[in-house]
Amino acid sequence: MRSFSLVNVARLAKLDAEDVLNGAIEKFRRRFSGMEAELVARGTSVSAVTPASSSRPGRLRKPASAARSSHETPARTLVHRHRAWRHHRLGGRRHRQCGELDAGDGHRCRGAIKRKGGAIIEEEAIRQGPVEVGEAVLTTGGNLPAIHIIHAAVMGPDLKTDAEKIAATTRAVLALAAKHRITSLALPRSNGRRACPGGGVRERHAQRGRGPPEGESNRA
Amino acid sequence: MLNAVVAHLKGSPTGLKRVIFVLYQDDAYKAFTDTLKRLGGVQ
Repeated sequence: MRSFSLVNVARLAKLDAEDVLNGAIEKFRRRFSGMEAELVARGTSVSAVTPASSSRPGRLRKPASAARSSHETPARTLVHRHRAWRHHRLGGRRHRQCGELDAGDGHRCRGAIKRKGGAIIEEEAIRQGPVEVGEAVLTTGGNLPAIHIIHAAVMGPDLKTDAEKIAATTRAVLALAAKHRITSLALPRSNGRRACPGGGVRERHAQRGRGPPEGESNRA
Repeated sequence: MLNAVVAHLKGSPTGLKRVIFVLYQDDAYKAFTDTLKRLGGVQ
């Protein structure tokens, strides 16, 4: 009876009841996934959280994506390509390779993610180091529309990569996605400068008088 | 990259419903399309 009433309300509001229901389900899934990602980032799990703490207002941040229209369905997980990194040393002088994550597809991409998504993304990724070439880690999406970001190390400090490294890293990304039951994934295939206007691997190498790194040619 | 994704999707049960390849240039798009055709992913 209640369902009929709700369908009637939707009809009077000139809404498609099925679309509205699907939107509500998607919203719930999005928020719950965001909560799971935050708990994973905190080193705990849903089963370890008591109902009282999970329902306390402000205890679990509402993901930014939850406020978005249900009709927009961007990828729930964004893959970001990096060079390998080690632990961030808190305090003291930052190691060149450790202080900040350097994105293989352009430092300005990293800057954009940090600026739009918040510093927590980089902090979480660094905390999970060391990450070697061919490995990947998952963090929250911060304030980005994506719920998660998978940080994939496709190259070493020499900024060189090749098809095998990219394939190995992609497999690591897919394994991580399966582990976290991720259903939607956006994989970038950047070409350096053009992928990140104003900065990127090709541009940096061009400035140094070198060609692009091996493996950066057009290869799927 | 595409080979790895196709192998993953064909090889094991997966919860992945959607994989988006973000391609920034026409030549990257062409390379992916050609590879996908070769792999039998598109007609």
